[in-house]
Amino acid sequence: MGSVGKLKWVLLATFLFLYTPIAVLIVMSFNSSKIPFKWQGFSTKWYGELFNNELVLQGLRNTLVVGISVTVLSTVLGVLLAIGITRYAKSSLLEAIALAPAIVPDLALAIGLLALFTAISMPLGLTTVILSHTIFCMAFVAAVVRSRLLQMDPSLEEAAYDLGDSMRGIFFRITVPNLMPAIVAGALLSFTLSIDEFVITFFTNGPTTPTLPMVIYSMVRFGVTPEINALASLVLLASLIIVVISLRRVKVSETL
Amino acid sequence: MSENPLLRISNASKAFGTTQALRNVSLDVKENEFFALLGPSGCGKTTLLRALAGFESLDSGEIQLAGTDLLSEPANRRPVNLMFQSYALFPHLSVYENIAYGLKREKLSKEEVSSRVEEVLTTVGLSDLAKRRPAQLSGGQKQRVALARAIVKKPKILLLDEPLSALDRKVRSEMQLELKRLQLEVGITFIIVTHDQEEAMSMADRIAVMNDGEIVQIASPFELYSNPRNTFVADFIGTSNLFTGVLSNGTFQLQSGVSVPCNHQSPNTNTLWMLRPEDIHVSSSGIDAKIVNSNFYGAHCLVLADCGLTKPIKFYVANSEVPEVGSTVKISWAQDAGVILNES
Repeated sequence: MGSVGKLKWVLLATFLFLYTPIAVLIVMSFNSSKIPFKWQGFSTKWYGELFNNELVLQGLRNTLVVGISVTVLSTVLGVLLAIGITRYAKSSLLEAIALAPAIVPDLALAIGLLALFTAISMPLGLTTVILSHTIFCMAFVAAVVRSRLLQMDPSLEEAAYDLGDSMRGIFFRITVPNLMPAIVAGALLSFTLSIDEFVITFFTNGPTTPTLPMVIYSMVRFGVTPEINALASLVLLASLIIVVISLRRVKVSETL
Repeated sequence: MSENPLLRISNASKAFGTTQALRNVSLDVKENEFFALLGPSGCGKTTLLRALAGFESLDSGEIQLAGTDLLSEPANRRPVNLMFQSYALFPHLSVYENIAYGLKREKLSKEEVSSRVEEVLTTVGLSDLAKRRPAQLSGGQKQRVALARAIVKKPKILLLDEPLSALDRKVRSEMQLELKRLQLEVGITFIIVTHDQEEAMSMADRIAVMNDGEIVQIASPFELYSNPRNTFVADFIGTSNLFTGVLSNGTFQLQSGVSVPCNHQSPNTNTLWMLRPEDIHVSSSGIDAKIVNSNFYGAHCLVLADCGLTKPIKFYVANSEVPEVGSTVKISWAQDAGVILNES
């Protein structure tokens, strides 16, 4: 009993360590003072100011363009990759290679991509960022979809074929609906990974199209302002909403 | 072989790597027949079924359905439907949509689809559950949906892969009767794959016993039981006592030296003799049998008795007359009882 009591304090300390920075961030975003880490009173003015900051808005637009494109591309390609490696790959090496971009260090991927784009003289900009994000997001989608695919009864597709359906019909009427919870989870994961990705974006983006994380980074270089706290709080809120939706979505579909 | 069978399989062979799954299998199935492929796991029965459905190709051999070549058609265009062992119900579709799936692919009108689905739902007794999802059904109900989904297509042949193996014992015996009734009602030829001899015996009109990729014997359940072609069939179907020995002049000399009366004729003198447990009776004269064990089966007991042979002899005794374990009784049988299996 005594040792369990002590463990409770360890747990509490761990939570404190994890969530204090986030709590500070949120509290300080409502600070009316211009000095970011000195409390002077409650205010929401920094949130208002964010929406007047042209640089922030441009960053947000770029981030959304990248995030949405990456989500669509990586979901489609990731699902196909998952089906390919699960059904047709004879060696587990191929599987490992397909899923590797998800765990390769960002820096290695970033430098490699930059070298590639330079070698083929591709101008850096949102297109190169979208391609780069798609590479690693696709691996995440494939990993999620693959585990669902392995649980799926292979005779479902055979049954549809036996009942007279075409290969194409089976894919859209049987395979995709049964993978849907994993596809949605993979898409949301791609979106959250893409919108706050920094390292790869930093290497593969051009100078005229900064994404939100890059805008924040350049703002921080001139000192942390309460505006940044507000911005980071909003990013946190957006990610949180997506995570909650994806968890719910998966649970709801698994009870089917 | 009959004149115009519905299905004719000739010399079908198939190997997976070094494993020969089918060896020159030939058989005919008649229209409206309830045909069973029976054998232990790995005997090739499922491979044959999947070849009929179109999920396996053959290395050699032919399959003709109503005189036309079946193998050249892909699975989705064969007038044959398969009921899967796992049922393979589509989990994201309702019972109604599961059953309508195959009809919609035939591009039938909405009215025809719905009237045929309603009709088959009534046939299998699931009209009330049309809106349920498969996850909300019991095992027996799932099986009926799988069956309905296949027969609604009005196939020439319905293939059933171990249809009752996922059900518990009580539901299984109900479904055995149900399957037989449905087969008569819808008038479709059924080919069922099973490893359960009781299941095959109780439902099928004819049974093909398979072992190691080959057909060992094709016969009616009664014929298989009373006249098995070899040891494998004798052993696989029902309970049997097998004796190896020499047959001469009305006696059968067992390997252990004991001679018992036996009135059969056989071209071989070295032979196998099979006696069913029900052929053997406790009587006032006969050979001595020391009771080793008795297993209660409800209506009767299966008794194992040591008669000084290599294996104990099995026979049935009414519940009220079970001798005590350890006691010795005399057992006998009619001189012409049992069957001589023609192999040495």
